[in-house]
Amino acid sequence: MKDRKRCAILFRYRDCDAFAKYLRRQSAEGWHFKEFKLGMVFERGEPEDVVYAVEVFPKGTEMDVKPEPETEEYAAYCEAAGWQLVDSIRRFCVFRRTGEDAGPITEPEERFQNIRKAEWREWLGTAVSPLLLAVLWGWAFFTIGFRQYIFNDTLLFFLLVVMGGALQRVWNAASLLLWSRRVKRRLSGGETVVYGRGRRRGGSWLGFILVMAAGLLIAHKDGYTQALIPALIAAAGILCCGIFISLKRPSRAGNEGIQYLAAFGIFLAAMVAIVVILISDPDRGPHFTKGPDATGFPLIQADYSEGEWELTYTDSGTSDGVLGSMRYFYVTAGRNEDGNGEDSTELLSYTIYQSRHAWILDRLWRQEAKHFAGGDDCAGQWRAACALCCEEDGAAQYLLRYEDRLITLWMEPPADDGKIDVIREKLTAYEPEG
Amino acid sequence: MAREQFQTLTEPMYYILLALTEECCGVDVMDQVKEISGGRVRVGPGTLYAMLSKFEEHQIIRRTAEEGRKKSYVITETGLMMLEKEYQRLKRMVEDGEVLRKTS
Repeated sequence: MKDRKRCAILFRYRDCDAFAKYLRRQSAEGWHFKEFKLGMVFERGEPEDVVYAVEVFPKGTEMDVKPEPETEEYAAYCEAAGWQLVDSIRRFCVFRRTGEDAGPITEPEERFQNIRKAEWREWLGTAVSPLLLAVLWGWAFFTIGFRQYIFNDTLLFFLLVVMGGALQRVWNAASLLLWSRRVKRRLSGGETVVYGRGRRRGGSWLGFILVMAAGLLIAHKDGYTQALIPALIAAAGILCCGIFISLKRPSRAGNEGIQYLAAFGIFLAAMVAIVVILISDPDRGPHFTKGPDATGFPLIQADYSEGEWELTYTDSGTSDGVLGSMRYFYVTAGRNEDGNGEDSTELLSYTIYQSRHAWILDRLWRQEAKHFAGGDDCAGQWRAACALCCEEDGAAQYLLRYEDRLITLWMEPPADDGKIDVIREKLTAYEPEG
Repeated sequence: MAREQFQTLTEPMYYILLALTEECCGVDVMDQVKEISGGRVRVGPGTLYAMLSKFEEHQIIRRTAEEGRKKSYVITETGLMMLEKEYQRLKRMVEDGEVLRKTS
């Protein structure tokens, strides 16, 4: 039979009385709380009715993994009053009653303030980063990064996760405010307040793991497997650091020092991994091809311009997601001779955004149209729902909106009517393989 | 301002300061308060710890000795003035309440 068992600490500060009741029930079953070490450690003994009190120590911090000098001083006062400190972690102090006539450790109003402040401080420590990340990432999504995000399932997924996390923090804050008001009202009415519902709260670790697993699968599908290595290194580093701190239980200052060092080390390891990945395959990625190969290109110069064309450089990229796709193509080609008997080189670059969702194409149109200020309406020429064109220095830019796609086109020299028909037919009929 | 929280002393505050009119170890203040009040007032250890910290921070009491985790304190001049002011306030309240005896 096991002599020891370990359980996760799944109580909030405002569940401190439920926490104490849980410990008492465990003691009644023969499992006596011993210490906090990688969770709560219980030792088997004789069943006993042990009265516990779990207090929220106002001078504790989230960095405390063992009793600090202030905690020990606080414990000395409690011991004189019939409460022996068993162990402490963060702002939790667990006492067992040793004196039969031991009274409450703190006054009700003060206890409520200790719990309330501890809850808000914990919320601040865990909410600021996710909220900031959500605001920044959300801003990027709806502005400069929209075209990158919207067709990239991995980025979209993690954006949703971040937004979900931020919403959860906001919800937690609202819940905390309501709780605080409710308890204050009850205390003002002279009621006795019991903190917690007398049962252990379930953890959300399973949900977190499932979400992360889903994210990894999506990232793997999108070809980001190698890019996840630095993230996995960071996650492994953080986990190892957490386990080390939990087992060794350094002082507050020691804990801070270890975390700073670990953060630096993890950052360094992740950077090294990134460099190694980039060096090992500079042309990495399933979406990029370089060199004079136009396989899969819907349009090249030879399609709309006569002559013996030789490709000199091509580049393309793709981004496919559930909301649509983005494909860009870049072609440089040269002709041995044109009408004047001279060699000529023409540049052609185009991006095709495809989506079943009109609002996405509309938004992209609004973003792209900013670069066409002063441009001419050429919808008639291109037989498009909307079209803008700008010509300058022997080159032309076009922005073309069709029902299911948006096309940006840059070509040198500008297209005449004959070329427009060919180009339009090629680009509007294009459907990517796979 | 920080001192406003001590404009009117609560019962536990009053008795803690009374106990510290003589130098006393912090841990023993609980017993002193019980003795002075005839068992009527009990101060929890957590409440006492927090109040001693606040009193020391606002120089209402001062630390006189420290042995390991045990610290001794005594009231300061500022603390005595506050205590005296509170005593006079309570005394006036009792005197004002004498009208109850006359009407009954």
